[in-house]
Amino acid sequence: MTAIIQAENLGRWYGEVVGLGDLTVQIEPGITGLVGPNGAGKSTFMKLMVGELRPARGLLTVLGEVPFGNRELYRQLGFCPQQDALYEHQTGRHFVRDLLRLGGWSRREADRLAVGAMERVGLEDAMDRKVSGYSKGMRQRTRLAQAIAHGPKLVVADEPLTGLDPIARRQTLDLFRGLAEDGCSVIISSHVLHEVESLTQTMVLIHRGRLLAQGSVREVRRLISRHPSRVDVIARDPRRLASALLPLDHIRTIKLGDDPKKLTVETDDISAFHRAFAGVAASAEAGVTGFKSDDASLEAVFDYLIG
Amino acid sequence: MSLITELPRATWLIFRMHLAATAASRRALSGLLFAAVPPLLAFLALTASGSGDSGVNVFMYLGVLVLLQVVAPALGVFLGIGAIADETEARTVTYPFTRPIPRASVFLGRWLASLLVLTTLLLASGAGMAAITLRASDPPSMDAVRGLLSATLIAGVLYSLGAAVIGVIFKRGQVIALGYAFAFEVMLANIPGSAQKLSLQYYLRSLFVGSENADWRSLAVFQKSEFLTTADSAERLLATTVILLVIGCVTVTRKQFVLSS
Repeated sequence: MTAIIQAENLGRWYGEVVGLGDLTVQIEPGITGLVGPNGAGKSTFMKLMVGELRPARGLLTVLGEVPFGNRELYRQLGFCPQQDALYEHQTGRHFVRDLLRLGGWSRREADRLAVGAMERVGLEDAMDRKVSGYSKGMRQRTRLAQAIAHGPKLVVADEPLTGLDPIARRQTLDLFRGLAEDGCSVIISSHVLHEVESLTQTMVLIHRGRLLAQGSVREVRRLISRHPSRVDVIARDPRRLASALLPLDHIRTIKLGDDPKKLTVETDDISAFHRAFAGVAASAEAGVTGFKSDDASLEAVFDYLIG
Repeated sequence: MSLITELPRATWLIFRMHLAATAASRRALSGLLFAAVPPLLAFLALTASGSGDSGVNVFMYLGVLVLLQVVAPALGVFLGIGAIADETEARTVTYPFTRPIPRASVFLGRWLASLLVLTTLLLASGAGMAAITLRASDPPSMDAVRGLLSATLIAGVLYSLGAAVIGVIFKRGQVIALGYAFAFEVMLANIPGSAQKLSLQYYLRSLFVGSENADWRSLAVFQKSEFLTTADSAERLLATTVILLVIGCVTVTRKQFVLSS
């Protein structure tokens, strides 16, 4: 299978800030999730893919073409940017239609395609209203509509699920599945692993501008499952609580910090910890007043994975 | 589609897309207030002086020192600077730049939309001022009116194009463009000697002072200066326009616009 994206030692920085360090990756056709915490370089990679930026070093081809300013490539490419920006004076329908017209479509055909795209993203009732009056989710879907309206071979969507309510999120995920069934490749970025997991089994993980892992969701999950989860607990008597928790099998470490009321627990099985915690805390009578699991973030997992 | 056929088509589409928004923009509405200044000053000057000031004097002084030297550059900068700068500031430039069109068409289309709004404002301003002074005693000749209005419109083209180019190159171009128009230009244009030739104002003034119209020569501000002929100044201004267009198109084609997410 021919790769749709080929990046070799790709680097891009903004002054002294590294956007992308040294990325070598191949992405095959289909749906691919580009996952990484905020600041990992996902948006920079996507901006390079769509030719908004040029690499500072390395090589990048998209559908076999160098992307920057490549008009032929843009006929086959749809980009849904992350930034919440639209032409505020236009209606959703006119926004999509006018961008289609730039692609060479006649006014009538562009309007037909624009209406189709707005229907596909579930905005048929609002498409004749000005985008300045749209909600955040509607604006997001309008950006998506302009990316898919011309029937591209590849859609690049930067955090397309951000700001969507659960129903719109499900519709959008269905839309991506539909695009893939029609033979369109989709690359979506997200910092939320399970969002991407529900859409594709193929994932590219980047962190601090470098490729961390690439493969199936199962492989990534396996890496994550080795990662101990950390829980911060605030209690009146943290030492007493620590003594009660220590005998549990899945507890790896318990640390008492500078804060006299706080303890940090590392566990190999967060679910078992959650099940056992209430009973242990009650019997220890340690006066628990706060409980925070900050390890759910992808950032923590990435930090663990890179050591 | 080749670049030659695609550039005008895409430029027209971009122009159409942005004309209404440009006309209704805050820049244009502020420009409207600014454009009202010359007719208002002409009215006040003639009213305050009673029959003391002749129409031709008021028209010529206000025409040169206010309309051509202040209003045209100011409106040119305010409206021209936004051509690409507004798109990058609003972070919408991604959309046209990821379409199969020459990037230069975005620059040209948006600048032309600004230019149409600008020329309408300048024309209204100049025509308003002329209408008021033509009713006064000793009114300006129609040749003088035509000469000044033509120079003002050409000033609008050049200042807006220059500002648009500066807006493409620099992130905060408005300060640079205003600095150029109101510090550099005003100083050079009004110092007697060959330094005048470094300013656009010199060539704009040459367009009408250099012609046979003796009225302009009677103005003290022009008496110590040597001017080019109308044809020579028009040739240089045209060359400047072409150079600015090329710089703008090439820069926008090659430049990476880094947008914040």
